[in-house]
Amino acid sequence: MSARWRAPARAASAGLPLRLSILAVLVPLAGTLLVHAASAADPPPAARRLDPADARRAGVSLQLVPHPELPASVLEVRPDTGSAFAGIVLEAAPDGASVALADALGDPVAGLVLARADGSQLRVELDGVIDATFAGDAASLAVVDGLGRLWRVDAGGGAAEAIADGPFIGAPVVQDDGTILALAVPSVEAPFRSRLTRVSPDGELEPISDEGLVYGAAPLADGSLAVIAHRPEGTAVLRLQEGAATLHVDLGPDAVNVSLSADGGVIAWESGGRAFARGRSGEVLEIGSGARPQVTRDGSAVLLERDGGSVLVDLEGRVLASLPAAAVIGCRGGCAS
Amino acid sequence: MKRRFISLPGALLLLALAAGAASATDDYTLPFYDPDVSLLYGVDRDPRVGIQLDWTGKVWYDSATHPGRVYDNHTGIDYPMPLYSYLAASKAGIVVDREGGYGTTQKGSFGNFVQVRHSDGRHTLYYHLASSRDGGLLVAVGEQVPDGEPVGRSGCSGICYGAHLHFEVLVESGKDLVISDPQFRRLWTTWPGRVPFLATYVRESNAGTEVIRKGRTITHWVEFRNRGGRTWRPNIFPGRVVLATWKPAAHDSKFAASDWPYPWMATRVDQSSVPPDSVGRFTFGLRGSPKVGSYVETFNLLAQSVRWFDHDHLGGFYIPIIVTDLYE
Repeated sequence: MSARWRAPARAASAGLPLRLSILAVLVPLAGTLLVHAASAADPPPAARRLDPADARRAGVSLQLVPHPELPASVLEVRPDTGSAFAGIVLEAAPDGASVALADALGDPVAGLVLARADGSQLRVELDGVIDATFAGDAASLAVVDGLGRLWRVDAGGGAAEAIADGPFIGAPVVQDDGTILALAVPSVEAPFRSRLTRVSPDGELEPISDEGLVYGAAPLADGSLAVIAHRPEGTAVLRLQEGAATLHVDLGPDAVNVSLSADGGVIAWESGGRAFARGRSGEVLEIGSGARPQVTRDGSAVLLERDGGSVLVDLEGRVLASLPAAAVIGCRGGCAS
Repeated sequence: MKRRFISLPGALLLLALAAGAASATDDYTLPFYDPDVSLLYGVDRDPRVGIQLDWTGKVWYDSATHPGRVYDNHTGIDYPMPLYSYLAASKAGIVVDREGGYGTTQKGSFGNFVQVRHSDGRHTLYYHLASSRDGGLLVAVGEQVPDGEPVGRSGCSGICYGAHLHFEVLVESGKDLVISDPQFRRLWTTWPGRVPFLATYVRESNAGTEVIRKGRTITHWVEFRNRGGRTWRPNIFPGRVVLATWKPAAHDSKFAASDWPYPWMATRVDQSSVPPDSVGRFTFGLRGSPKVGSYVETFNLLAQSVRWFDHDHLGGFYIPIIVTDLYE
């Protein structure tokens, strides 16, 4: 594969970086930014499976460490000793058996990595990955590559099927009927406008929200959809049901990386390097320093990036657990917490 | 695969329609102050993948990157610069949107930006800014921003691999904003690689000490070369170029003569027009008003109501003055 733009960027919603320092060395300036054009004539992205020994030899091996003692399905993602893995954790599969990561290193270089609990890896050679989301049955993922194209990737064998050119950005949402919700943007590099769009399995696009700049969407347990929208006056969480949007919560200016519990009653976000949580009573509390909060599905706790590792805190900011590595809440896609 | 429903780069027709109006404009400037900053990638004016039309008019039938020119489907202009570099409003306008919540170097899908709407219906967009917490946003939504005033500071938020400004000029088209290329359409009063206002010292009527008899006025002139991209003029406002007191800025001078417009402003540029690379002269009186003694008066150039020039580039210009009661 020729030199391509690797974009292991992280979505606004959830997920934790492992090690960005190596990326900073490899791609120190925009001048190194290489773009490969989408083309119908392109061969499908290759996929390669590494068994645990292959991954160790390639210096990219990872361990998925479950923490059953914690009051949430937390999966820690630890690079093995000597591993040079420098990716970004995107999402855990609903069955907890694998984690999707965006990667910039390895042999072969792969945009999307599916790391499994047994130490094996499936590496899919996409042109970078902005974000990826498992379908509810964990059999496939919706992936936005570094150029903003939307793919469906088979979680078993890594076969990638192009769905739409986009460009899209952010975390796609795989719905039970097979449609995907994605954020359509005029430009991947400067997404100052993004429309929430329903993408049918054959690539038909349908805008489903009037909001001009949507940062993310999350299906809620009652069948409605939470839409996190930027407005000039601040960030709003809307509830979209049967085509009608109502304001759920106004989070104020500079609230980013918003995460919700399954019922939408608990919301966490980041603002000015601090994390905040809004409980079901409506009370907002600062829960300490940290980035990219992830609310557990039941809303009892929040996982945060902090000091190079992860912490799980309750809604008052009390630390329930400190983890040395990146971690992800299992079952973002919908399984029971 | 289906064609995307938003196709901003595809609006070549709108580009063509707007081109006529653009040719007469002469009022956008580069959105930064550092004279060492220059373009890395410009706008791709061809919406087709694999065909690139750069700002010089050259067509590239590939998808490779072409530093100094373009990369495929690029919607703006990339200017690499150090983190936290100040960014200037390219034209006066009103801030219509902003985001500052992302970390200064947070590698995320989205990033920090400021969007300014101008009176001609265009918008300018300043992207990848530092976070609000780090001083990345210097304006609020609804705020009027004069031409050349700081709007933010550079960062690397969003999809970004090294601090740079992604700058866009957009044209309103109904509810949409369509990408424009300010370089190709010659919107600039400056050109790529030049900051609007910069000058270097050339010479003056007396580079030594001026001796002024108490109560008398002498004439002094100094010349500076226009190293910026913008033409100096004495009679436009804001932006006219004047010589004013410095250290502290705009203090009332003890040497202000009757020809000074204000006690802190010695004079406006003499010529009606000083294009880039030309030399502008500033002629003014110095009156021996203070008591007998030795003095130093320091001056700097000011693009009035826009910004002061970099005084270091003027050689730290000052005039040693002796006021005497002796006859010459």
